Amino acid sequence: MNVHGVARLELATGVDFSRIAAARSETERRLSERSEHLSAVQIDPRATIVLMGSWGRRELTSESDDDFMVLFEGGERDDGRPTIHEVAEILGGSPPGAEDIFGAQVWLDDLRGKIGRNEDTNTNLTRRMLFVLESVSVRNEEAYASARRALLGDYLEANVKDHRPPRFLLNDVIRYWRTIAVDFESKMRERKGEGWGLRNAKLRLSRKALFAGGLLPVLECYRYPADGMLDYLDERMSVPPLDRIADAFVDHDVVDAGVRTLAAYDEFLSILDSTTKRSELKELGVDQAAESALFARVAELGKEFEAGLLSLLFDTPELLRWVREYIVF
Amino acid sequence: MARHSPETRAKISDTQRGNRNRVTHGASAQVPATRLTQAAERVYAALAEDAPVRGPDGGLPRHDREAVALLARALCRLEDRAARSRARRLLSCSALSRRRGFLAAACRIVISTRYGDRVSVIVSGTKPHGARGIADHHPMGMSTGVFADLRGAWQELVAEACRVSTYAVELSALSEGEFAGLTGYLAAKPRLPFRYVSVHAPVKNRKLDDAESALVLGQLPLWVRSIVAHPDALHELAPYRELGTRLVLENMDDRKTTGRTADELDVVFDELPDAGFCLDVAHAHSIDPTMEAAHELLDRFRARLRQVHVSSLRESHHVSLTEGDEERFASILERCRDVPWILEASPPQRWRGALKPTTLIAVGAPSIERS
Repeated sequence: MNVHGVARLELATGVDFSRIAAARSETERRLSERSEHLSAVQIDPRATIVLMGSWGRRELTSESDDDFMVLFEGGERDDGRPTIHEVAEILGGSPPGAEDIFGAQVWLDDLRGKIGRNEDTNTNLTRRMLFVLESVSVRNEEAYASARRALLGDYLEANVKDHRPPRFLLNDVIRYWRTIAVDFESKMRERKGEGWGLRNAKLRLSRKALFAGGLLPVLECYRYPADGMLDYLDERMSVPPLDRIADAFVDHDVVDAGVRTLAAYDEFLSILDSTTKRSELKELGVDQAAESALFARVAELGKEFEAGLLSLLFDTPELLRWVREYIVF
Repeated sequence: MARHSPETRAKISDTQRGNRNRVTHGASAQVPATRLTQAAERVYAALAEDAPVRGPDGGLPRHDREAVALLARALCRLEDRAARSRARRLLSCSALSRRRGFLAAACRIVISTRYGDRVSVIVSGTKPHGARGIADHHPMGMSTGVFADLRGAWQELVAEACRVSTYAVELSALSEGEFAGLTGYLAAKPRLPFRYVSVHAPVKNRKLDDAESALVLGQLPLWVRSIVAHPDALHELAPYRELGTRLVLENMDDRKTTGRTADELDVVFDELPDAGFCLDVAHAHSIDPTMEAAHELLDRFRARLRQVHVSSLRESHHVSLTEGDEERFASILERCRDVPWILEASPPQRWRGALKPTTLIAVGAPSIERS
C-alpha cells in the first residue's frame, strides 16, 4: 500500500482532516457521474475533456462550478469534437463566452508553443497552469496524460541541470501566481469590488494551495538528475495540490506545521461548503471586511495556511537553500 | 583492562567478538550482525509494501541497500534504548526517539527510498533540525507585560515591544483595570505594524463574572487575532464559547491545580471545542523537567496551536530564557516554527546580535513612538 499526501500526514500524526476527506469523496462521486454522462459524447481520439479548479484540487463543495475545457492535440481547427455546446449541455451549464478561460476548445499547440511569447495571454497562461497544476480528465484519460507529459517535457528541454530546480517551469509557476494576485486587484477595480470577499478568501487559500502545490515539486527537483525530473513531475502533478503539499511536510519532517497548515485549509473548506457563509463572503465588500467576523476568521485561516508554508520553505535547511538561490532571482 | 564480575564476563562472552562495549557502553555499542540482518529484513518487508519505485528486477533499488542498513541499525538502537528506558521507567519510546532524532532519521531514509535509486546520498547530506538558532525565529514578538514600569501606558508599551520585533505582540492586561485602559487604547485605532496581535485576558483582581468577562473580551477589535486566557481563571466555561476560535487557552504551571497537562486541558477543550492553544514552554517545564509533558501537549493539541510563550521561570516568575532552558526547549520550539513566539521576559543578552528591530517612521497620530 502506498500511502501518500494528506492520508500520509494523517497517518503520521493521528489527526483527521475530515472536510478534506469529505470533499474528496464528493469529488470522486461526481467525477464518476460526469464521466458516465460524457461517455456517449463523440470525441476525437486525441482530445480530452478536462475539469479544473476545485475538481482538480478534489475539493468540490456544494457550490462548485463545472469549470471545463476540451483540449485537443495539435493546432486550432474547426471540426474538433466534442463542441463546447455538446459538453455544456451534458454538464448542465450554459456555454461561456469565447474569451473565457473555461468552457472552451483549447489547442495543445497553443499551450505548448506560446510559452513566454507575446501571444501567451493571461488566458493562455491560466489554462496551461490550471491544466498542469489542478485538473482532472473525465474523458479520454490517455490523451490527457500524454498532453500533460508533453507540456512538462517542453519546460524541461530548456537547459535543465542535474540536481537543480528547472528554472523555466519554476519561473512560469511563479509568474502565474503573481498574475493571479495582480489580476485580483485589476478585477476588483473593474467590478467595483463586487464579489470581493469570496475572491479574496480564495486568493488567500485555494489559489495559494495551487501555487504551493506547483512550487514545491518544482523546487524538489533538486533530488533528481535532469533525466529523472520528467517522471517525478509527471507523477506529482497527477495527484491533487494538497497531497503534494502534505508530502512535502512529511518529507521534510515538519509534520506539526503540516497539521496546522492543512487544518486551516480543512476549516476553510467547511466555510466554502456552507451556503450561508459562502453567500456572506460573496456579498462582502472591502469596506465591510473589517466588521465581518467571518472574514476575520477566513483571513486568520489564510495567515495560518501561509505561515505553515513559509515555515516549510524557510525553516527547513534543505529547502531553504533552494528558496534562497532560486525564488527571488 | 577493565575488571568484570563473573556475571558480566558471561554476558560479554555471549556477544560477538569485538563487541564488548555492548555491555559497558550502552548506546555506543555495536549491534550484533544477526540482529541487524533481521532488522533489515523487517525494513525490506515494510518498504516492499510502501515504496512505489522498483529496480529493473522488480525488487527495491540497489542503491537503497545502504540506507536500509542504516535504518536497521537505527531501529535496533531505538529498541534497545526504549527497552532500557521502559525498564527504568524513565521515558516513553516516542519521547526518546524524538529526543535522539532516530525516528526522524529513519523517516528520512524511508522517504528517500520512496524516490528510488537516485537519492540515497541525500540522507547523509541533510543538515539536522535544530541547527537554526532560537533567536532568529522569524515570527517573534514581545509581551507588553515584560515592561512593568510602563504598565498602563499602552503607547509606550507598544513602542518598547517594537524595539524587539514588529512581527507580533501580546498586549498583556492581567488585571481588569489594565484591560479597561487597553480597550480605550485600541478604540483609538492605533497604527500598529504587527502582523499578529494577541491580548492576554485578565487573570487577577477580577470583579466581572464569566458572562460579563466573555462579553467585554468579545468586543475587542476583530484584528486582535487571539485572546489568551488561563483555564483556571475561567470558572464557568459556557459564556466563553462565544469567543469561538479567538479564545486561546494557555497551559498552566506547577503552582496551579488544573490546566497543566494534556489530560487536564482536554477537559476544558471539550467544553470549548473551537478554542486555540498557547503553549507556555516554561510552565510545561515546571510540571515536567524532561519536557515529555510539553511534547504530549503538542501531540494532543498541535492542530490548535496558535502561539508559544517563551521564557524561563525563577521562583515562579518569568525571567529571560536561560542558556540551559534554550537547549532544553529547543526540540519543543522546533515543532512550533510556524507560529508566533511571544517572549514573556526580556530577550537574553546573548541574543542581542540576532535581534534586529525594524526602524519605523511615525506619521500622524496616534503614533507608536515613545513620547
